Amino acid sequence: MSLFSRLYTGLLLACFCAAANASIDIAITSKSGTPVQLDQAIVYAVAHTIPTDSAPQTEATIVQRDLQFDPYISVIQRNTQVIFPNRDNTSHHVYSFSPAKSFELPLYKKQLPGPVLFDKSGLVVLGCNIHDWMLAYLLVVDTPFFTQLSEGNQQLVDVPPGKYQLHLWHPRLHKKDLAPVEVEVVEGQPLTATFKLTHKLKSAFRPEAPGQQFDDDNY
Amino acid sequence: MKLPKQFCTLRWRIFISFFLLLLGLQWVTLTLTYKASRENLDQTIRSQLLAAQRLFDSEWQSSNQYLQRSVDTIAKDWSFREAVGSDDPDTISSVLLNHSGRIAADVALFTDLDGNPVAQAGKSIIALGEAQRTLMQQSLNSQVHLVHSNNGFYRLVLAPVKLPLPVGWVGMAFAIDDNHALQFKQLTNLDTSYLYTGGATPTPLATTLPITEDSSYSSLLTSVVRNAGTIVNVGGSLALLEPMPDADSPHFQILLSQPLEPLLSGFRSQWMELIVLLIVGALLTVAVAYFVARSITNPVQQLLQAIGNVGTGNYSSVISVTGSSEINALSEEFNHMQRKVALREQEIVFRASHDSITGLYNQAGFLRAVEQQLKFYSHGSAKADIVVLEVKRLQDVKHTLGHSLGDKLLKQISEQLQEISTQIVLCYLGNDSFAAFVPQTRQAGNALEAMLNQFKHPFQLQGISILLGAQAGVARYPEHGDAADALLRFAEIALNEATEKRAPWMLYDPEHDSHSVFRLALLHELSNAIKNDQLELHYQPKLEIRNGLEGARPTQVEALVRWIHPEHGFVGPDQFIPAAEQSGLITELTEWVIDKAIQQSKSWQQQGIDLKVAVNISAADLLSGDLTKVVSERLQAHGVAPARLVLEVTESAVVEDPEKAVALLNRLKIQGVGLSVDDYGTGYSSLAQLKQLPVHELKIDREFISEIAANTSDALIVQSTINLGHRMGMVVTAEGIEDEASLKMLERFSCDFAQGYFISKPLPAAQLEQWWQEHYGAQPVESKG
Repeated sequence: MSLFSRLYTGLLLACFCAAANASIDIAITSKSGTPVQLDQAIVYAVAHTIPTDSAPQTEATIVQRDLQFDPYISVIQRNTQVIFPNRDNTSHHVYSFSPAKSFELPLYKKQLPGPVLFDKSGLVVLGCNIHDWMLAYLLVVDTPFFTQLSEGNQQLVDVPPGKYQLHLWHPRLHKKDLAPVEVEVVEGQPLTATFKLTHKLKSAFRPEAPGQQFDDDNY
Repeated sequence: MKLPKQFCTLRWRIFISFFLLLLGLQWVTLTLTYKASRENLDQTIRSQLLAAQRLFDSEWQSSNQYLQRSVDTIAKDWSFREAVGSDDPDTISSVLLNHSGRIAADVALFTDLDGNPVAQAGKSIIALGEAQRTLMQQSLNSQVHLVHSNNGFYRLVLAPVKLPLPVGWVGMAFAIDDNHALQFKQLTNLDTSYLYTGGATPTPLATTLPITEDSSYSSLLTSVVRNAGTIVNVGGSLALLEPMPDADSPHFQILLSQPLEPLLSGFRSQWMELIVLLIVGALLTVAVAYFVARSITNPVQQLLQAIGNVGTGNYSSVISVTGSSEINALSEEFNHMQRKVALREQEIVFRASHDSITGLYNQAGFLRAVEQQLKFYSHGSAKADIVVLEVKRLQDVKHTLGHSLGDKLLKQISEQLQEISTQIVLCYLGNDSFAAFVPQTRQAGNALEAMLNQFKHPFQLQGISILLGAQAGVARYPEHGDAADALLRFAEIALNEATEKRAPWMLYDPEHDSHSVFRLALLHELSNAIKNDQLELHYQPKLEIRNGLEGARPTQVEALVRWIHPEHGFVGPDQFIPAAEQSGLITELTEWVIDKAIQQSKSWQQQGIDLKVAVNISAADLLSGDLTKVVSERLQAHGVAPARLVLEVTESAVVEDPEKAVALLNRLKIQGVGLSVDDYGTGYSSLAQLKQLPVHELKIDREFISEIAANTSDALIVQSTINLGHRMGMVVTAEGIEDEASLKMLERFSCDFAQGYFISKPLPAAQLEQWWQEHYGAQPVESKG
């Protein structure tokens, strides 16, 4: 699948959606009902009906900058190729032993290694062999309907009508809170999907880089 | 407890006080030193234990850190992670084995995040307990756990494996075994044990101590467990029990112990050196104490010695001590006292040995002085006289003129006596007697004469002229003896003799001394001699001559006692009879003689020898009163007629108590015993008395007979006495006939019996019998009564 055809498909979908697609407002509450802000949490909807083997439209990038992966959490549709450019002055050795994608990019610096194709859905945890603290989550989803929440974005937009399993993923979420929510998108009807967390948020496993401070709550 | 006397001396007391003080000090020193050393030792061990415990902690921590880093490195090793990422247990096991070999771990394991084992490599299987699992789930940092396994006790170092998310734990286990303990012991020299105290009894996991069945180790364990965290002294060891660092179970404990014995033995050898040192010091001090004690007590000893000398009358010991001034003063004072005592004693001695009136020696002093003088003489041939001088009429003068004038006279006499010669030692014996020791030297001259001459002239006393007189007795040294008191006594005896004989002076004659020692001894032996029949009777025949010498026959014998002394041989009756008379032994002697004489008479009678026996009786026999009884008993016993016995009595014997004597003689006469007056003509021959005596015989003393042939006056006396006797109805016997002329003359004088050596000397019974048989035996015997 060429880069072009992927872009094209995306465009078509966008057009199709523009007419009848709807947005889903995402609400996350704690057990007691108070809203929970989960930055960079991934929300994706897996349709019951719509085939998911559509080609990815983009190429994703996870850079290594300041001895960290950037972004920390990212989401791609299956079959997306990801490049790992090194913006540091040191070499990196990016690897993953995740079942969804096990690979390694042995020591490299300026020379950009070729893109890595993620052809299985699932979570890929990225690390750097020479910088133990470097960690990144790459969620490979088998759906084009996904987004990453942020302060200004609490919506999954452009979802065609239909029944979906709506997933919420974040490293801090408890395993039991990863259960999808069944939603039905109806044209013209605004929809709010609420993830009620039954468990407390985990403290994310994010080892500290030497000389750098991370505040888990920022993620 | 009473100390022996020698230990009560000052010297000993000082010495012992020093010694005890020293002993006490040394004891205290030793005790304190020992205590301090012992405490020090204890303290040292305690601090060693504490230091070791800290060391163990720090060693443990640092090895932990090292091991953790090592295990961390493994966890981050790419190939290891790749192997883990491969998710193949066999691969993981082999990589574990490989890595465990690199860091010399005994066991290596890989678990999932919850601690469930995934793969293991090594000789033992380690299962993680709940406690470890909890810790592993709580933290993703590398950790150290102490774990039991089926075959040991391990330090398990765990590190999380991140790919990059944590996926599990890699663990390396290192055996905490005896070897580990030994290594620590080599570092600290302390016995090290690792204990598990979670069970009923503490279980040693590893130890450097020999674990035996013997209860000392288990009691040590029990005791330390009870006192965990503090140092305890158990079974000769100091021990400290502390929880192991990093142990997730407080039951894992480390026990550090130090047996005291090896340290004590080292300590003891030092201690022995110290004791030897102290003993040497003690000996030195004792020696010093001894010398100090001696330096103090030596002068005291000298004083004691000197006082002892004074006690025995020696005042010449002068003490000079070098010592403290007190002792000096004491010794000077002592010397002073000694001089004074000596003076006073001289005075007392003078008074004790001198007469206060005359200033001459008294008897005791005189005897001492003479004794001393004689001591000089005993080695030479010097001679001396002891003179006892009796002043006559002195008592009369005293009574007439009074004692004070008498004393003056006495003084004058002694002064004049002293003027005779300086060599004469004079003595006032008391009353009117003086004694003098006169050495027989030229200077002394005829001192005796000079002394007696003093009294030929009157003494002038307060205008009165007093004529005294003097008699003297003299005993000679060494002729008469060599003891002063004996000589003095002899001189007194001689004086008595002189008084009796009215001689100006007499020389002592032992013959006249009835008191001689020889006689005294004889007297004692005589008593034995009588009992033991040592005496024997000799018989001197009396020849009956009244019918003319022709055909004259002995009809009587006089029994004379003879004493053959076993040592002295023949002892004359002159020597023992007077002594026997004085001592009263004479009665016994007389009884013996009477008995023997009667017995002999009987014997002769049986042999056909017809002889009367005459026995001499002394004054004491006359006064004793038993004589009649004795005589009659003896006669009866031997069956002899009284007429065959004649008793001879001297006149002087009768004189003492004439009435009693006459009465006794009368009784004897009635008994039928013949009586005779012996030694007639000497002594107290009184016709008045003779008249009264119931005797039938008169024996004229030999003194008159011996020279009858030559001396006409004697012959006259004898003749007239014979006549006198005959006129008084007595027969007359002459004694001491020594020649034929005398015998013939007596025959002419009509003397009845003759006795003397001319006829026969006294003979023992057997010889007499022989003599009798020779001269008269063949002829028929005609008794004449």
